[in-house]
Amino acid sequence: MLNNIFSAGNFARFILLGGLMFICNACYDDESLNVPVQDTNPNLSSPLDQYIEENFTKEYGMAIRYRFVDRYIDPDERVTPPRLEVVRPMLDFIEDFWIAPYMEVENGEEFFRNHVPAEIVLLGGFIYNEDGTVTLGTADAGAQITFTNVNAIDPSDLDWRALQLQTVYHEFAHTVHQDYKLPAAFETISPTGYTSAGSWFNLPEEDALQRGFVSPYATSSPNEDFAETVAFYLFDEEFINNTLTDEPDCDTPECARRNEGRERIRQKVNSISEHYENVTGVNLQELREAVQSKL
Amino acid sequence: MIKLYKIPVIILCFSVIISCNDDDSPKLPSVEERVNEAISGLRNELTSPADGWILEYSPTPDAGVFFMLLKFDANGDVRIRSDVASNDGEFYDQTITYRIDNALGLELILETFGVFHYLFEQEQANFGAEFEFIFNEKDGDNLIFRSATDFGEPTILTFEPAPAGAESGFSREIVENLDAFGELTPQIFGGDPPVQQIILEDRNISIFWSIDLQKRNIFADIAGVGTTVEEVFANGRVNIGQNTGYTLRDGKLVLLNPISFVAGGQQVNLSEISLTSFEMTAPPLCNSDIELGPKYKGRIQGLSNNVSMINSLYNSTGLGFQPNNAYTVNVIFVFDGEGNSLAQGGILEEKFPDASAFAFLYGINPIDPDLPPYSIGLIMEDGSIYVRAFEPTTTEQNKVTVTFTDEFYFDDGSTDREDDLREVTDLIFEGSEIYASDLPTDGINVFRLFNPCNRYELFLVQ
Repeated sequence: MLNNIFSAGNFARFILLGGLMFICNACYDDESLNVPVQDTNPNLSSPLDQYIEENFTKEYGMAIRYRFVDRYIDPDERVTPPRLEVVRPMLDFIEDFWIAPYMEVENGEEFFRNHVPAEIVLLGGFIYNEDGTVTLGTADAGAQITFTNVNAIDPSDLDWRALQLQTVYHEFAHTVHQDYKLPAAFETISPTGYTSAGSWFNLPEEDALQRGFVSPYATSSPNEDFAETVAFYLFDEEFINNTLTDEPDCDTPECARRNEGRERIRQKVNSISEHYENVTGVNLQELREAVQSKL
Repeated sequence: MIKLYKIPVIILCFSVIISCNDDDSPKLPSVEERVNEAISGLRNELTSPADGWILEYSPTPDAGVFFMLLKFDANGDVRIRSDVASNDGEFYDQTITYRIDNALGLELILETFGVFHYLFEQEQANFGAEFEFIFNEKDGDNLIFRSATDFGEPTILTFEPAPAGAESGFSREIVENLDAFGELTPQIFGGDPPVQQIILEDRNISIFWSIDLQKRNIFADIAGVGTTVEEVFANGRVNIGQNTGYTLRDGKLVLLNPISFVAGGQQVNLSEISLTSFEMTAPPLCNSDIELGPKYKGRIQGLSNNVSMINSLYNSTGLGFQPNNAYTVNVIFVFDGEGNSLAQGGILEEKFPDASAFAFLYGINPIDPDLPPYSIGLIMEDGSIYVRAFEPTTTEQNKVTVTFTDEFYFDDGSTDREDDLREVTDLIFEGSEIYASDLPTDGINVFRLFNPCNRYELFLVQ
C-alpha cells in the first residue's frame, strides 16, 4: 500500500495536494474568519465608559449597553437609544434603587453577585411593536435586563419609578426560579386562575386580584406569577395595605372575592419568602424594607 | 526528458517558493485589517471637511426637508445642528456619539439620542425616519448613504461638504413661529394639522392649506377669490387637492412641489413664500376672544408683494356634517381642552353619572312630536332621552352655529335636571360656533366637532 502511494504518478499528485495545502496555510497563518465587525470606537475611553468599566463591568461583571446596537432588540421592534446625558443618572438610579438594597441585607451581596445579569440595556423610549402595540417594559428573563423610557428619567415621578423598579425586580426574580425552581406546590395556590397564552392583557386588574394575582400579567404563567409577586412585594409601597390586607366590613360578593384573592396572594408571598430564605439566604421582608427605605 | 505529469509539480513548487516571499510581492492584508481599513477610510472621509456636512434630510417621500449640519470628529462624536425646534430647541445644537460598523456594508450608526432619533420616534415610531445608514458611495465630494432600516425604497442621504457659515441658512425663527399656528387645533386622537389661509392681499386671492408641522408636509386644499372662506365659496372655489413637502431655508417656506391654479382668471404659480415679519395680530378664531392670533407677512416673488398667513378653522373633510341626521356617541368621547373626558372626572360625570351617550339631533323628523328636531343632550343608561333645543340652522362650510333656546325635553319627566343640562350644554358649546372635520374610521362616519373658544372636542357617529 505504501509503495503504491509513492508510485511516480501518485507522488506527483501527493506533492500537488500537499503544495495546495501549504499554499492555503502558509500565507495567512494568523488569519481568523471570526473578525470583529464593529468599529473599535475610540470614544470608549470617555469618562462615562470608564465609570461603567470600573463600577459595573469590573465590579459585578455586568455590561451596560447604552449605545445603540440592533442585536439587543427583536427585528420587529422599533426603539431608540438614550440621551447621553441621562445615562449616568440612570446608572445612579440602578445603583441606589436596585443594587444597594441587596448589599444591605444579609446574604444579599453574595446572591446579587452570583446571579447578576450579564447585560443591562438602556433604551431612550418605549418599545414600539410591528402590530401597533407599545411595550413599556421587557419581560425576557435571563442574561439581559432592559430598561425602557430612560430619557424620561425622574425618580420623583412615581409612575416612572414604578415602571423601572417593577421591571428590574421582576426580571431579577426570574433568576431564582430558573436556578432553584419554583417553591413547592406554588402553582396550586391559584390552580384555575392562569390565563390562556397571550390573553392576560384582556383581564381587568379587579379580576386578577379576585383570582389571587398581583396583576393581570401574573396570570400568564406560574413563572410570571412568581416574578410579579416578588416585584410588587418589593417595590410597591402600598402592597401591604392594598394587596395583602383584607378589606374590612366586606358585605358584597365582589369584596368577598377580592379578599379570597388576597388570601391566595398572602399564601404566595409566604411560600416565596420561605423559598428565598432556603435557597438564597435572603430574607425577602428585610429586602423589602431596604427597598422601601430608598423610596 | 521530463515527463508531462511532472510539469505541474515543478510549476507548483516554483510558485510555492515565490508566493510567500514577502520581499517579492506585497502580502494581502488580513480580513480584519481590511475591515478596519475600510472603517478608518470612511471615518477619515466623514471627518475631513473643515466645516462638516450639509444634509437636507427627507425621511419619507411625502415628508418635507429638515436642514442639518453634521461635524464628525475622530473620537466618535458628531455635532449635529438642525432646524428642528422641538423640545425647547434641544436639537438645534447637540453632540452625540457615532460608530461605523461593517455589517450589511459600512454602516454609520448614530448611537445616542439626537434629532434623528427624535424624528424616528414620531407617530409611535411609524414616521419613517432612521438613524442607521449604509454607505453607498462617494460621488465627487459628496458621500451617499441609504437607510438601513427602510423596508421599501430606502431613504437616500447626500452629505455635501458645508461651506463656511452654512449655519446662516437655518430658519429656526420661522420654525418656531410656525409652531404658534399649531397651538389652536384639535388634539385628541392625533389631532388635526393646523389649517392656514394664505391671502394674496393685492390679488384678493386666498389659499387654504393644512400644514403638518412635524412632517413638514402641506395639503393644499382649496383656493379662490376673496379674503374669507365665505367669500371664496361664494365666488366659486377651486379644488387644488395637492400634497407637497416643504423646507425652510434662508427665510423662505419652499414647496418641494409647486402649486398651480387659476382663480378669478388669474394664474397662480406658488413655489415659495418669503416670510418677512411675524406678529400676533390675526383676528381670533373664537368670536368672543380678545386675544389675537399669529400672522405672518411676506411676499411671493413675481406674484404678490403683500401676503398674509393666518390660521383658519376651515376643513374640507367637515363639509359632510349636514342636517337631517342624528349623531350620537358614547359619552366618554366628549373632551375638555386638556384632553380629559367629561364623563371621567368632568362635568358629565358630576351632573349625569347615569348618562351613556351624547346625542346631537340635527334637524331630524322625530317619532315623538315633542322631541325638538334640533337638539343636543344625553341618552341615559335606562334609555331615557334628555335634550335641549337649539335654533334651526345649517352647516356653513364646516361651521355649525348652535344657539340654544330654553326648550328642554325629558322623556321620563326629570325636569329637575334642566339646570344641569343647561350648564353642561352651555359649557360644551361656549361661543356657539363649532367646526366639523372627519375622523377617518373604517366602516362608519365619525365627525370631530371642535370648539375654538374652549378647545373642547367631541366625536359624533352618523
